[in-house]
Amino acid sequence: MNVIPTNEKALIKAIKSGGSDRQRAIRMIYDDKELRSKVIHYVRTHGGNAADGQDMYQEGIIVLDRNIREGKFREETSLKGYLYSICRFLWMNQARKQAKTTLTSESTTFDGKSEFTPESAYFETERKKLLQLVLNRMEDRCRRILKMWQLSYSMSEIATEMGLANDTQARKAKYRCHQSLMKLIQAHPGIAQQLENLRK
Amino acid sequence: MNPEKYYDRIEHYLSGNMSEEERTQFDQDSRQNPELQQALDLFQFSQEAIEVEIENDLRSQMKEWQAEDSTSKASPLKVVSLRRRILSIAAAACVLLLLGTVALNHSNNHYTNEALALALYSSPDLSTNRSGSPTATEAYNAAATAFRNGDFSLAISQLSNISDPSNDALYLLGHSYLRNREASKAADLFRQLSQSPDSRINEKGEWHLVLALLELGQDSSERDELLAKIQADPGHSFHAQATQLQDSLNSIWRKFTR
Repeated sequence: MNVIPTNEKALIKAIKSGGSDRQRAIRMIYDDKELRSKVIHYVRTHGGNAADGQDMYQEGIIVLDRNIREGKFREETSLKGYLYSICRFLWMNQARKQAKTTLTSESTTFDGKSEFTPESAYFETERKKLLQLVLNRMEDRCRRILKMWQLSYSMSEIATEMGLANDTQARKAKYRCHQSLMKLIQAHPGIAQQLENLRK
Repeated sequence: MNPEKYYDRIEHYLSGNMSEEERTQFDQDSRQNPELQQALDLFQFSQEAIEVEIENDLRSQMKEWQAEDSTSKASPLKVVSLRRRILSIAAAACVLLLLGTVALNHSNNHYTNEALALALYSSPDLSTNRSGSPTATEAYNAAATAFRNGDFSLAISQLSNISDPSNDALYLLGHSYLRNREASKAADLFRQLSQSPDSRINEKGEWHLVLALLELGQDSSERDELLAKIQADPGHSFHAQATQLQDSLNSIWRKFTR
């Protein structure tokens, strides 16, 4: 798609479709100076500094991207309002973690996510560390293929990107890489069990 | 457990393309068949792992955009032209008052020490790690994850436990202090790195020492001398940023900052 999305629906569609469309859409959201300034202003007036605000904006976009791709974003809501809410939620949790701000009655729940606790933050970090540990053992090529698959690239796009002959070859490569990742998770001593425990 | 046995069915289930009837049947089967449930969990863990990588990629991409923004624009100043014909002194006063407010806001948004440090700051490349021993590498990786997650205190604690830290570990520790609002400690570390014989390290040390001193709010001779030194060396990795910072520090807008 060569047309640059100009409204929120188009941005959402572009993120869902993955590939370069998603990249462009995220860049457009990232470049929204008005919203970014609003987030930075919120963080600065709630115990943080401008760098914290910049980080929160970026972390908010990461959550937004995933929620859109996973269908958690309700399209009747405003994309900007949603992103701003995510950033506020993230900052309140971060501020609690760093004990930079006095707690207020302001809600810190978001999309049904439970309120922040030190335990939940610890489990989240530990889970990501374990998952990263497994990924680090995979060859780069497989990681790229799996990322494209997760980002909804078509098999023909994966084939083109990876220099494979056709869709069938791409599908086979994706299958092989995914099996290899799952075997690594299974083979790693206790990792599946730890992931299971941390999930509870 | 053999995850291959259920692969296609699980993929179909998670893709959301199953009919309502098929989904109900799958949910029922997974409750009754522990092997299927385990295969489903494993599939989902693997997807989470891929998501971690996607998150990291996107985070790095946005840091790159941020760095590009900071090098491509100092903070473009738009010249505001006043109309030639000002009808009355009152109108002129209003315009001047408005301009004054704009100037004050503009200055405070772009020219305070904090705003300048932010505009020119970029997170470190966390994929570079020459930490040495397996224990040190493990601590570095844990710190890098904590840094990515914005938990700078944890990153500091992990890195401080390394008995013989590499330059990469010290560099990340400096960044962690800087982000944790402990600019004085960050400055000490970057000062130490600026003395390294390795130019890749000492240049990073010098530039980030400038930023840490800026963050400290000190108009110090150390900062000015270092900035002048970087500016005078066109081959310095942070030459462009230093020039940009010096221009901003010399700007008239600095006089309006609070």
